[in-house]
Amino acid sequence: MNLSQDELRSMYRTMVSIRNFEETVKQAFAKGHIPGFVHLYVGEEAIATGVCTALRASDTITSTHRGHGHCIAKGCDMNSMMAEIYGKATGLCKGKGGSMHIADVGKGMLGANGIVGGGPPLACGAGLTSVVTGSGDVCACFFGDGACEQGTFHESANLAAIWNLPVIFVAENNGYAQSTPATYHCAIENIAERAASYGIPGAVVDGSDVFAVHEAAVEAVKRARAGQGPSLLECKTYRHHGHFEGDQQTYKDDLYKSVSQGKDSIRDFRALVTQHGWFTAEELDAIDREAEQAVEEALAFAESSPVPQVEEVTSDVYVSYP
Amino acid sequence: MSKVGIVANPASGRDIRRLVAQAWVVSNQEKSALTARLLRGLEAAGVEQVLYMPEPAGICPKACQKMGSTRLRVCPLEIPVSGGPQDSTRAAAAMVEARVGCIVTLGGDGTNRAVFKGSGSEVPLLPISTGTNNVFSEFHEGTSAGLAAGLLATGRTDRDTACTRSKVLWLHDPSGVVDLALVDLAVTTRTFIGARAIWEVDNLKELFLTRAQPWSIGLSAIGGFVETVTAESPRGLHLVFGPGGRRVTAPLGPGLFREISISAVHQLALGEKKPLEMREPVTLAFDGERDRLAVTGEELEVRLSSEGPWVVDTARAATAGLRAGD
Repeated sequence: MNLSQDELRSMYRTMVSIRNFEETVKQAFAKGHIPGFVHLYVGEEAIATGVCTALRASDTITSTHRGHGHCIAKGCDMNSMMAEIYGKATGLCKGKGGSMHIADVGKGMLGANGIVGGGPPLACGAGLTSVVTGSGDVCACFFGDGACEQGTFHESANLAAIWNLPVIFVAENNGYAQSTPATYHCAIENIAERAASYGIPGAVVDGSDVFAVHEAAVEAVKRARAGQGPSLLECKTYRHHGHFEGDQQTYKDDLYKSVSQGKDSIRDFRALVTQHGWFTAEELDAIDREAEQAVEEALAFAESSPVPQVEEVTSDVYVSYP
Repeated sequence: MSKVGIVANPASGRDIRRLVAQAWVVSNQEKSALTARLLRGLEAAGVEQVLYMPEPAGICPKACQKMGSTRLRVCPLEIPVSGGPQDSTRAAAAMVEARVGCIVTLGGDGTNRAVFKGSGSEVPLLPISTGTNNVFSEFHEGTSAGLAAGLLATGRTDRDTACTRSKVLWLHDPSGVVDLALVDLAVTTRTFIGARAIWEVDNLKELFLTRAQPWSIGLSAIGGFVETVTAESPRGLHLVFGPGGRRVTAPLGPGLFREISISAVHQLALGEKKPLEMREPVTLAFDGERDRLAVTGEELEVRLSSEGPWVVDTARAATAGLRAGD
């Protein structure tokens, strides 16, 4: 598998869009412009990008409380995302979900989730839907290392295995569940080893390398679409910022900090593609500027959008059944 | 003081071949259990100290917990831990400096390549397979492997009796040696390193082998389906792939057979250097793992050498070592 220029360009654009979006959210949050909490995806861009570029438009994803990167990689509109984070009526969920509950079902993004481990059961539902309808779609289920200790992950992995569901469980192991190191909360070093307990394949990839993630995701998607069932990808990664904005990160040890600083999927991507002569630095800089501009527009859109009307508070809360 | 080094790679046996082939998983718990058996073997042979590579999974400390009391002094090396293959290289160099009599490795061929980069060829290796496609490392039971390594480290047998010298492929650029492979060095047209392993053949361009064994899995097997070159054979093999050649269907991974067309087969003599044709960007794979990008026009040569690591033959070591104690 070699990637085309268009695919490489798209990957790069997605990664820098995520990075720009998150750094902009960080600044806006620091100014007090954003209600609630935000959890940033900086440092983990390669995972959402590598996985989502292996999906087709009708495939679905489930996300986490750190979901902005997943949304962007799945093609959600950044204006509406930013407006949602700002709690504005023009947001993807009319401003009533906020950062941790962004969803865009039309794009196959079934929802960020404020509940740690909330995504895997939903992914099984999406996988079952695919089987029942015969759509051939797959669901990529993103979750963190903390979620791997939740019963929902284990139940979902087992369910997906016994029903042979087309689900790709993507463990984003950034080494910390909030502030608790994975070395403390997880009895084993590699989450992927747990796959064997459910009779499904599990592999570890470098989550800072978009090519490694993409290669593995392509193979996992191929299996799932061919009716060979679920798999578990563990992407070893590093969270560059805190668990939430404002987190002082005093729990991060020196080794984590030093290794984390050396891991940058965007920098590594630039080095590779310019070394090979596939893109010039100027071409990549132009993509950077486009991404910056798109995020600036998203910010302006969010800031100028209206807040939801009070009378809207109960709308969209309950589904009306015929 | 008799000393043995242990490099247990917590990352071996986890790669994408669990998805694309029927590769097995050796958990770090099993590596700890294997290490506990290994330590008992070393203890029985009279080894006094064991130096081990520190790593995040704590394979050796957990093995010590399983063992309970022991006469062995089991000590971590005081080296920085990065979580990458350079840890194995750094640990091996530190073990040689500490004058260990043998280094036992738990990993795959890639682990041993990293270890040999640090150890050089003086201290023998005892490679126990916990990886995926293993040609250099073999399946050994920990107890008997520990006994064999211990008999060598305590001087009850010697290197010439208990060990076999393996070959190595050196990669040269104009400045000198820049990398090495213990079993295979492949040139692929895949343009990125990515998930590292090789499980498809459509990107394979050239293959250099120290061993071509039809009973192995991995790239070595491709050569083995043409002719057999063992670890002891004083030669290697160089294959060029392309359409219209001899077609072989070889096991590229566990349960994974692939057909490939071999357009040319060249013998590779010890000491012989072969230049790589660098007409396009390529990725070089060492012992089955893509690890180095090379650009068009780069001057690279591959040389087969007999100066690879000494490898402990557990049967010979145990037989000679125990006979010496009679």
